[in-house]
Amino acid sequence: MTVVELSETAELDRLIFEQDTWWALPVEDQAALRRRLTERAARHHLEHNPGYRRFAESVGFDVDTFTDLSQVPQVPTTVFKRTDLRTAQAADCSLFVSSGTSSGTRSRVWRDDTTLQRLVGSLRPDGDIWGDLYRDIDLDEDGATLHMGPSRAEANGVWISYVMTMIEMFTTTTHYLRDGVLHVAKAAEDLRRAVAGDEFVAIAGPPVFVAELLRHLDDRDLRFNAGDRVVVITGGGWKKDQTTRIDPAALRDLAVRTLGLRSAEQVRDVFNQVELNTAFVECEHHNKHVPPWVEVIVRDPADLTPLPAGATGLLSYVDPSATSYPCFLLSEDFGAIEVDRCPCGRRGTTVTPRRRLEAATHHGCALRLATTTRLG
Amino acid sequence: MLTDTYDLKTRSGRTVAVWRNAPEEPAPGGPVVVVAPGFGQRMRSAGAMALMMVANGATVYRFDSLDHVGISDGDIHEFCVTALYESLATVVEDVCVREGRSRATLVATSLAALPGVQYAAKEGRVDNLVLMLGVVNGRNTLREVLDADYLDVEHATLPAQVLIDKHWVDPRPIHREHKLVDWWDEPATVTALSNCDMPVCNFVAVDDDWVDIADVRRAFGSVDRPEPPEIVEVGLSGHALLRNPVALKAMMTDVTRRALALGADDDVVMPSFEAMVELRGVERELERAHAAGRVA
Repeated sequence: MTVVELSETAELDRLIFEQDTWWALPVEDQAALRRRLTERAARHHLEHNPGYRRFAESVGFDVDTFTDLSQVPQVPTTVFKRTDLRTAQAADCSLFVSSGTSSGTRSRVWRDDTTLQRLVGSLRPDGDIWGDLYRDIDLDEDGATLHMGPSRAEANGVWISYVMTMIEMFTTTTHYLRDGVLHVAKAAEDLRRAVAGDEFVAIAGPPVFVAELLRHLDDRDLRFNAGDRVVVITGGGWKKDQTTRIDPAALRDLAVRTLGLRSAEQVRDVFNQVELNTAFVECEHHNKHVPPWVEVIVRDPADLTPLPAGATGLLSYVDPSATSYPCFLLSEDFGAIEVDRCPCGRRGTTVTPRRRLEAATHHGCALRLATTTRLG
Repeated sequence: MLTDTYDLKTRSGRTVAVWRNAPEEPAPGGPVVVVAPGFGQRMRSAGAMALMMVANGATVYRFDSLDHVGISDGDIHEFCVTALYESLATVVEDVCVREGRSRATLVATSLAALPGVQYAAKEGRVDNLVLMLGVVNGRNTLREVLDADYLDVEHATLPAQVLIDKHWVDPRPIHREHKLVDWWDEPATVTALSNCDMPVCNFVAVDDDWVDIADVRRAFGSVDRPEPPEIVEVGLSGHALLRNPVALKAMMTDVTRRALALGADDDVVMPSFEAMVELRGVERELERAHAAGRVA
């Protein structure tokens, strides 16, 4: 008898790629699971990432004795804007950057194949969270995606664009942002043809570009009666600049009206950011569900103490799915979490990101920590 | 990786679609591998496997089975393992002629193990048999998947269709073939394995709900031959391992080592994630072009 040696994180991979029953796990069991997976990930990064190890030592973290996930040292995301915080060799990784539109400076995150595969796994269309959208449709055979964004080659390492192109793994995909031009009319024509051919179509892309397509249809009074054969998946920022913010509910209404969808449940947003290695997907009630391997901790911006569910504060993450960098993050986003409150019935945490930490709030601990922390 | 696409006709005149993948500079006498798809898998489902084996010097043939998903004749609604046997027998025989070999390595996944073992035992065309999550007791697998044992019920009482892994399947072709061949039963697998004259290895996931590891241990333990077939256990995984790229990568390293008869110290080249993503799109188009070219 021979045994294939899997990594110590095989339990995590099974959760990400093979199982769906974890949505039904009681929150206590989800917490125990996270604790186990996080401890393994922390040991890995402490052993192989000298910068993170020094950071952990500077805050007195002991992986053998920590009692709560909120004690795991979290790296301010601004650190990724000035330091290459790698646990793996650069030669084994691809470099991804943030779009840089919000703060001007780009985060740089190195991902190896395992890290990338796990991110894709958190988006897999056979996951329970997508179940009522895709039903028993074989996307690979009967689906088509109109991607209102660039191809992977044109994405050139810009993270959210790259993530959206991962839909290519699951279904035939056409990209409509080419050489910096969004080909809206072409997308509208291809959509018309696909719906007429009774194909199952996903329209995907950043909200601003998806909105461009929907407005194009609306302005020209082009109406569809797609029923349940079209879904809309958005991911990325909700504004082009400080003055043009898209309201998610308005986008859903526009999609239902122009595409003739059965309901707004067919419009879903996915939350991710370049430093975070798991996607949080909206359920039919438009709540973003956090898979059980990720801990989301909301912190008081004044002193970084954890806040209870329902309170708004700085969002921070403990995500053990990244092997090539410590995905233990203190973000610049404000938001809140709820636990076991979603009417869809899925157990665990939902998160509502609300707004980015503004320059005017620089007195907050997060940025002070970010500017004083030295890694690498 | 160089790719050729072509069609073969089976003895009953049905069309099987085949893809051949080879290294750009193949070494003379390099390994030749035929990959038989498991239930619900197209030949392009094995793209990453082909990429990996070609990167390690093999020439790899894949095919879509008859009465299955993909672009060969028939529909998965009529699925039965004798159609899979007809497909793989046609392909392996053709491969031996094309490559000037008397035998090839056969990699069979999941339910393809049932006809794969039978073919390897009977035809003398296989020099190395590698099973991935290979089913050895088809009756138990059907029972597990369908929550019922339809093999021996009255034909008239069969439901019009049953749902197997998201595919609606008419159970009557399976029921009919079970009257002709006994491959769905474990003793037939044991007998065939005993008659196999080549190395046999089954990679099994310890929590597989389609393949009870106890069945594999019992079946493989019952085989009477000088060099017993081998079991390789993959921990912390189930039948869904096939969609777990991290576990699959670990398993595929060993599968490639076995299929290509590499030594324990030989490095196995692993294609990048980027290359695998690229291949998915390319092969989706290739499948379309293959089918369209046939119509033209």
